[in-house]
Amino acid sequence: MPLLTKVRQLPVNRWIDLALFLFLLTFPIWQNTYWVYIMSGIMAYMIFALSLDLLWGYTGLMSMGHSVLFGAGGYMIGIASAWANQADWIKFDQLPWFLAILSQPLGAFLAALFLPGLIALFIGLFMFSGKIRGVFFSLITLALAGISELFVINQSRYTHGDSGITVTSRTLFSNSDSQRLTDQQFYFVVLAFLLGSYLLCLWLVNTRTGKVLQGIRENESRLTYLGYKPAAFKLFIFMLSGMMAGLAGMLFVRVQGSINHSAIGINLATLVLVWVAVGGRGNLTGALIGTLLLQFSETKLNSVFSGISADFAQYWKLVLGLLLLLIVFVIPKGLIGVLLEQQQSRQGRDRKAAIMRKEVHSHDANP
Amino acid sequence: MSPSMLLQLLVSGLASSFVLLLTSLGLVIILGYMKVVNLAHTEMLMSGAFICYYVYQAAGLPFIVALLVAFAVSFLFGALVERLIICHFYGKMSETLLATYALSILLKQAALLLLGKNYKKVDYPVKTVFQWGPVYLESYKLVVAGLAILSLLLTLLFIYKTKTGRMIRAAMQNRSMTESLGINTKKIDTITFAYGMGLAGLAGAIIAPLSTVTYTLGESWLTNTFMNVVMGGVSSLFGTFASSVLIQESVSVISGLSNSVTAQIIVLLVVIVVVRLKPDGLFTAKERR
Repeated sequence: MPLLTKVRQLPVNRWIDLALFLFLLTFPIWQNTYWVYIMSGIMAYMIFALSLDLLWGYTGLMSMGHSVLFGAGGYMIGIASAWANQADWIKFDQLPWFLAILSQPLGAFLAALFLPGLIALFIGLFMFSGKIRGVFFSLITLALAGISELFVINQSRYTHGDSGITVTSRTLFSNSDSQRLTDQQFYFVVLAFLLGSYLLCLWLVNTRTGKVLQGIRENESRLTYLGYKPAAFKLFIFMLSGMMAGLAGMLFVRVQGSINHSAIGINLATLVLVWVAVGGRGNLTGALIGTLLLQFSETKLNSVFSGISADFAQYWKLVLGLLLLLIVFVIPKGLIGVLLEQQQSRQGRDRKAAIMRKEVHSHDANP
Repeated sequence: MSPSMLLQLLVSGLASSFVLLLTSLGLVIILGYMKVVNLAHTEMLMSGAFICYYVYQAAGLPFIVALLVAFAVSFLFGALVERLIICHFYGKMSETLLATYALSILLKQAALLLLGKNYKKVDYPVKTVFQWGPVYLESYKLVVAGLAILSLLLTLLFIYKTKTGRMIRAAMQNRSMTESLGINTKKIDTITFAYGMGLAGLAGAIIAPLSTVTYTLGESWLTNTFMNVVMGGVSSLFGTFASSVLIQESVSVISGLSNSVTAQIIVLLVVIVVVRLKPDGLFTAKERR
């Protein structure tokens, strides 16, 4: 009986998560390879959105340059793969010392995880002192995204500049061309990572650490009075979120088969904000659903409209802008946030009704 | 690096610091007096540049008319935006950022779809090039420096010497007290935001001859202006001025040694460190609550 009540009181978004993962699990069965490929990319983006939700939705740190960490992960794989296969634009005989780790297959994987973590560590060490206001964090990360995009274009020796890097190895660790999983196989690799990241997030936000993080979002100074050090928690979550973003970038590059400067710049940084804002922040589901809805409809509409107008992508951005404005005005909590709010108010009403009933009964019993 | 080259770099760095001051002024005012981060700021620069192109280059009216039109149009647009959008989100940081970002997408995409992808060039209103020994400077850059200082002075005059300016400062310091004195703070908010947007439009028009006018013009200013605001702080306009000079001089000199992107990265890293040491910006007013 308690289990049953617990299940009934489970927030509605966990059911949506369950449905979503069942949908993703069965997706390759009834869809063709093209959509499996598209969906793998969307799932990598979902990991990215989850990482931002941890940072923004739970801790209240609005990173406007999260793509820097995504792109850093992606470029590690890109450079490693270009080196392993000796792409024709490579002009150097030896990887420089700071990239030497990329010559090992596992090294590239680790670099893609830990370089974003290190970047986050550097920014976090300086940004998360008590005195700096939250909005400065957003502005600094925004500036960082802008500069990183210029940086990767500028460092064409390693990043192939404007044209980006083609990555043909679709495996977990190896960077050589010869080993290549099929679209379907790699779909399940990405799905496994998505499920893992989701469970990690779900576990984390329900631990004490997660509660402290939400405390930082709600009232940082009170948390300080209670003896916590918010700066340490912020640094931890920023690094973790950065590593998740790096993982997402790594998977995305392997799915997509290429990486260029758009994966590191302001465009993607703000796009992921839009996904999380539309889906709703601070409940994990919103990040997943927002990403799925927007990216899926973009791809779908693109295939419909590309014949009519070559400028589809531009009109789509216009639609995104309008949608964002609409969401901020009408449902600032996002789609899933609204569902959760409704459920909570319904549960509150039920509880109230139950109490009222009890009182009436007890009144009848002993007049 | 030879001394004459260093001198040239310093001079051009100083010239660009006035450009940066001009482009950041509106942003600083809106952030400092209203605690609103206006992400649409740089797209307003872009709109101002387009207004300059159409009024000055295409219609052939005097340059000063173009500047005034750019200011007036941006001011009115700013007032409209404040009334329709911004006024609903005071005190909500994330929502403000999202709303102003949405606005910036709308402006940018509207410019792209209505005005096209073509680059437009605005001629220099004054064309001579000065030369002192080894140092060259286009005279228009002097004009820009003059206009930047003029804008700064007029803004200071507006905020510190006029009645409206006094109300703006009062509303920032103690809103409810200001209201109980019978001042319509909503109107003050509208004026402040509109003035900041107006300055952005004006700055866009002024820098139009220095840059290629296209829909991505705003994007290229995003990093620099926001970095400048972070470094200079929002409590004093002189802080903005000082950080403009510091940022552009360092970028200019370092780019002489390597290239401009490396210079920007180094400066950004320095800004991150500086912000840790001086969280309120380089030059903070002494008496802050």
